[in-house]
Amino acid sequence: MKRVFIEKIKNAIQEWAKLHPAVELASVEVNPTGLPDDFDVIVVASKGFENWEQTERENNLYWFLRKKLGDSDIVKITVLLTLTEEEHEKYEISRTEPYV
Amino acid sequence: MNILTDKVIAEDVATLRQAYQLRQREYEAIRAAGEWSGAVMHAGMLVELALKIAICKNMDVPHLPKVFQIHDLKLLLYSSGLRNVVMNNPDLQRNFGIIATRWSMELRYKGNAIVKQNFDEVDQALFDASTGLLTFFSTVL
Repeated sequence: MKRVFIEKIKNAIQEWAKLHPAVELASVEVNPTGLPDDFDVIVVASKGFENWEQTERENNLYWFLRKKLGDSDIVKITVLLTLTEEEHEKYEISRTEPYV
Repeated sequence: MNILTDKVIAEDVATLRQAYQLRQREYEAIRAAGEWSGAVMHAGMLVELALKIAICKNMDVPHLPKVFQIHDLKLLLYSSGLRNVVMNNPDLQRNFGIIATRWSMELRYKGNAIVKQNFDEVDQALFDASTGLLTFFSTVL
């Protein structure tokens, strides 16, 4: 079931990116958190995020996913991050060094 | 110690609330001193404590079961009865994500690892007057 949700979330994110032609996705990570139907999502773009404020793009993706996943009470996204490649690099460092 | 108290912590919810107030004053003092790492360390502890109070409220019990003596914010939120409210509000969801991603008890072992910009992000995520996670928790706990 988790695999189905992961594919559903990934496909929805690809659809969302198509609505924003300036955005070129570099990677999409959907990771189970260990809780039922609960995921952490990290979207990295090689282009298109740099001139789009992070809070705004995350809110935009949040509402898109809510609509796409049917305002589902089943799928929960605990962490939703949209990062440029540079931000992602810093984030990766901060993951190994909890918060640098 | 009897069997019951083997399974729950000794402090009751009222004591946890007092501890929360004390930890918050400590947070403010550490912030005022410009000790950003210590302030973020304390900020995460405040979220943890608020969620543990929420768990007691959700379960309608006066003492926190010892199984919840953990530092996993995602699991604590899951058990708190507040998960749907937080996940269904983009600001609260984002602010929970910030603290869940950036705070860890491992910070105890780090030196001065956090700069002011990182601290400001966490501070706003928790204490923003309209969208802060702890601002919200304070209205429901």
